[in-house]
Amino acid sequence: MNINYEVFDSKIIHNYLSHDSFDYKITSRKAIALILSLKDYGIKTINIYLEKQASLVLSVFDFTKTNTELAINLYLQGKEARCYLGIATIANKVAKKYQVQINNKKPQSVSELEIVSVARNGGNVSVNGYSKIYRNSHQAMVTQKARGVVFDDDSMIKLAPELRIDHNDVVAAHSLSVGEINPDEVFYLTSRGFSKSEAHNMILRGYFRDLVLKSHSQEPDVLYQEVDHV
Amino acid sequence: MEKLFEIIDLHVSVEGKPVLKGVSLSIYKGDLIALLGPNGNGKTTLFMAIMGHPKYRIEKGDILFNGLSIIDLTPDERAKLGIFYAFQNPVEVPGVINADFLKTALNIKEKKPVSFVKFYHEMNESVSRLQMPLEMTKRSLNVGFSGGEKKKNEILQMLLLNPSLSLVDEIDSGLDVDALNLISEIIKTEHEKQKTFVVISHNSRFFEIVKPNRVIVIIDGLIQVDAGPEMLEVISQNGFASFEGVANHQISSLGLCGVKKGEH
Ligand SMILES: Nc1ncnc2c1ncn2[C@@H]1O[C@H](COP(=O)(O)OP(=O)(O)OP(=O)(O)O)[C@@H](O)[C@H]1O
Ligand SMILES: [Mg+2]
Repeated sequence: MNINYEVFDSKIIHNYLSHDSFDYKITSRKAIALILSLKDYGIKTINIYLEKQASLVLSVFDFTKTNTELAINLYLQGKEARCYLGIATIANKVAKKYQVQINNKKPQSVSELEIVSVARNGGNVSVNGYSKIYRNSHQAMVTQKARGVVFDDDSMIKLAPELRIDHNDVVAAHSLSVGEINPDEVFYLTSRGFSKSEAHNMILRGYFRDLVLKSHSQEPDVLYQEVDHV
Repeated sequence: MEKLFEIIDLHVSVEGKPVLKGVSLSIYKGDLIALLGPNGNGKTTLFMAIMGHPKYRIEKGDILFNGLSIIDLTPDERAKLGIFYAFQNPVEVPGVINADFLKTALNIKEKKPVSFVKFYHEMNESVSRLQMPLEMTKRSLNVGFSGGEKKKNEILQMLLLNPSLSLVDEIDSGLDVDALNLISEIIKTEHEKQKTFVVISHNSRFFEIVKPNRVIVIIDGLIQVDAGPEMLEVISQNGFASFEGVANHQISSLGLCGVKKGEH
């Protein structure tokens, strides 16, 4: 899914974000990297409709130090529509709440949901990811991948991926893992002179790297720096 | 000779199990010590404890580097003193690009950002010295590296960080014949620059090239032998069985021990 995307900087859709909801129709190939900032706080719901053969890469980067509550609904309402939704979030002392719904309504539609999250210092992440394959959507493909890293006992991550399939000629897969930061990785880096927090930053950058690459973002370094600052 | 490192009556436990039971050892600048012993007898544990792995608990004893105790220092503080551990099992760190990691490690060591040009020059030099494809530096750190590639990557880090004491843990395992010769020669060359090494290996070919000046044997968490290089031959012929349960002085009295030990 990486050919000839028209890449949207989050600033372009910034205007919309002061509203409660953001509705968008996609008819071609688009990659949107949505980098949430404090100013975006007004947004509550994103609805995106994908037409026939439309293709979307939507990547949400939420490294803000405020609570977030966001609903994202994607409608693959044309045949062979494809979408990738990546959500990257770090909850440091705050709560991040995401409600995702992906509707594969048509044959050969493909959707991929990937969630990468970190909770620290009593932070809280909760993502409900609901993907649905509608009746008669033959040869549709749905995947969900969710990963979480919890830094301390006070923090919490709740990832709830859910697949609902009303057709049987389809491919669906999901994986879920929530764990602690790997102490062996931390030790390896600290043995090379990285302080504990430098090691954590490096590991977290790595943790989000896949999502940053997939986002087609023009400013990957800015994203990595944001990871360092949370 | 100048004493670089001293381990005093070190007791270390792992997951509540006592592994090292009173290790004492002095290491002198320019030493190249072969550390031997049967599997599971505490060799790696000694290195882990020196580097400060939190799982390896020091119950008793001390470790001095240049006369100062390091046991309350964090692993990165120990690394900054010039101690390097080449892992027996290098850790895979997904998503962290090898070259980014190396550059950051070098920045930290130099306490300032190293220029891109300088870094690439140094990295390329070491990479070609190790006959590694440059491509390896663009991949995630150790992820999916073959056994031999991981070992080369450890030595790459050692060359870039230029430590004064290197603890090299079974670097030969997983290396093919050519790579073994290459890495043994590199260690030998670095040693000739007055660098200090403790190397664990079960491979006599490796020791033929690096030529240790001392041989130490750990059995059941205790140093049972501290002798000169001729001990390698004795061990390769007789194995470790004859040392088990034998105290240091008894081995000395057999005429097998203490050759270099007293000379420092
Ligand atoms: N992280 C750990 N968790 C549990 N037990 C451990 C751990 N590390 C070491 N041990 C145990 O401590 C003992 C010593 O292990 P160590 O790794 O030091 O052996 P070694 O002498 O390096 O052996 P080898 O030659 O096989 O590498 C073994 O019984 C081992 O199982
Ligand atoms: Mg070992």
